[in-house]
Amino acid sequence: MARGNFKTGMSAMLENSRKGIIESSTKDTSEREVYKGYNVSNKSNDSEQNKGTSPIKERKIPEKTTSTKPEESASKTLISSSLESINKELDSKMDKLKEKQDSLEKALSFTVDTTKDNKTEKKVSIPEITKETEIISSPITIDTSIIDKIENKEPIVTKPENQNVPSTYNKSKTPDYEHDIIVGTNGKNYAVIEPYTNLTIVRDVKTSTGTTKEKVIHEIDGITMGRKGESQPKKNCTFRPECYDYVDKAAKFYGKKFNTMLDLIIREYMLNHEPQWYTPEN
Amino acid sequence: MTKIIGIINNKGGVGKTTTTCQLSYMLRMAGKRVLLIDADSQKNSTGTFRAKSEGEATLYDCLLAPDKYRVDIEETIQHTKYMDIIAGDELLDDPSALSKDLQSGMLRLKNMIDNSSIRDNYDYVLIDTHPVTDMILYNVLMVATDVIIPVRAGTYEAEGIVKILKVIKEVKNSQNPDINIAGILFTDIDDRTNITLLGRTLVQEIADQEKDLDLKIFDTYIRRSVAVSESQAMRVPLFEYKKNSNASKDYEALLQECFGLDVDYSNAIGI
Repeated sequence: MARGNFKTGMSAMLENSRKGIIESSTKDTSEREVYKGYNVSNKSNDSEQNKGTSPIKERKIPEKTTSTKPEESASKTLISSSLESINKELDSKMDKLKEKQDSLEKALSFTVDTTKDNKTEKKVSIPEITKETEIISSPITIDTSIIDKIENKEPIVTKPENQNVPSTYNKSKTPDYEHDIIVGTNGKNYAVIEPYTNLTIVRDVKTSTGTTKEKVIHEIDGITMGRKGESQPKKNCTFRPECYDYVDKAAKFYGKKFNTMLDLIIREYMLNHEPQWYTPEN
Repeated sequence: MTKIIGIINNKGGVGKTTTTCQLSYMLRMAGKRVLLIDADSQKNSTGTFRAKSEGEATLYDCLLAPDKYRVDIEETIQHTKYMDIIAGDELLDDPSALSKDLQSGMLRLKNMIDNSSIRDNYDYVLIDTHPVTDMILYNVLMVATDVIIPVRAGTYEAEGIVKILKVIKEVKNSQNPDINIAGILFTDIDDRTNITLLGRTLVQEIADQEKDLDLKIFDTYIRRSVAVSESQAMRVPLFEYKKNSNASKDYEALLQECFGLDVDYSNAIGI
């Protein structure tokens, strides 16, 4: 391939690029570390059995080659001007960060008065709200309207009319309304999700042979459904395609992703654990 | 013998999907039996050829799904008017299921293809990949007979080449010694810029250094063409959208250089 004659400055760029390539060719990749990690965990289980299971041979870490320095004269002007602009940008960002930090400190400051009957009393000094502190002190808003929407517009968590759980579901007793999450479809078909359940969400897909199979969309670890710090025996539950479609429909209605919708249902249930979560179906 | 060709590069936006789609389409036009496997979670190849990933079994269902739910690879083949396709899936983003057993996880795609009639039914299997070095990429490299590495002419892209060559070398030295790098394909080339010249020079230098891989850079390169973006916007194959565009002609030349084949316009679909 023709290498051509570069214009002034291009030689320096070429040299710099070469330097980058040499660096990347001598540096171990992070991806490799991931697989090394798996190997280590395998070995801890059964060192003999897993010895040499990786089809990728152990990599020899190449010796660092001495990279040639780019010709300073050619690139000095370009680099110094770039550095200057980067420094300016950094300075301005640092100033902004400092301002934010000051505001945050102000917002979070409180005084402790221990003089009163040896009891500790916290006096929270409410900072003067400025435009800046308002933004910083409330960066996250909790959208509770979704709950209202769920209750008013579409029943997501439904107390089914028919309390006999279909045998197709991984549940053989009447739902426990104190502890179970009921996700219903028109009050007839429904699934029961218990807290601390390993939930596998499946839906139907067609295959080229014309048959319908179940496809795993998402798996939720039982622990993530429990309250923080609590551990319970895990149970397994499959979230069936008909209920998938129900939540999917609701997710689309509210403009949420499916998993977000389901997580919302589970999270709100775990937080509130109140009967009103079971929106009566009218 | 069926050629299984992976179109790979761990750099995004270098033209992997475009190259996969155009080569698949032109191989069909050359009268070959083609299966396209979309191993990219962005599933653009799937969309280009009007295959479906919603409500249909995809590569995920045969490759990553838990044992109980896994389907046979042949059950995931969709027969579109263009060609046969195994659709991509967003769920391919998380290939951790393959990491549970590293050995069998890396060879799962190969084992599935070996145990199916795919090698009997197709002349070419082209696999579009996503720009990540993960277990899916290793699966592709384990089964591939050849790989094509599309690359744009730039410094970062040249650095990306170094990384992907490392991965190929690992595979070649272990489970798939017969894997062949068909060539490095320059895409989105604008000969008028010095940067293009610089990038091509760098890649050539890298190729010269990797003597053990016997790297070839295709003489054919794909010129920058607005028709590529337009065809993507229209969600149709480039050749169907504008067969006289520079990029279309370049891919036609690539078909000749890479496979020794000429397109037969009587086999064209949708033009």
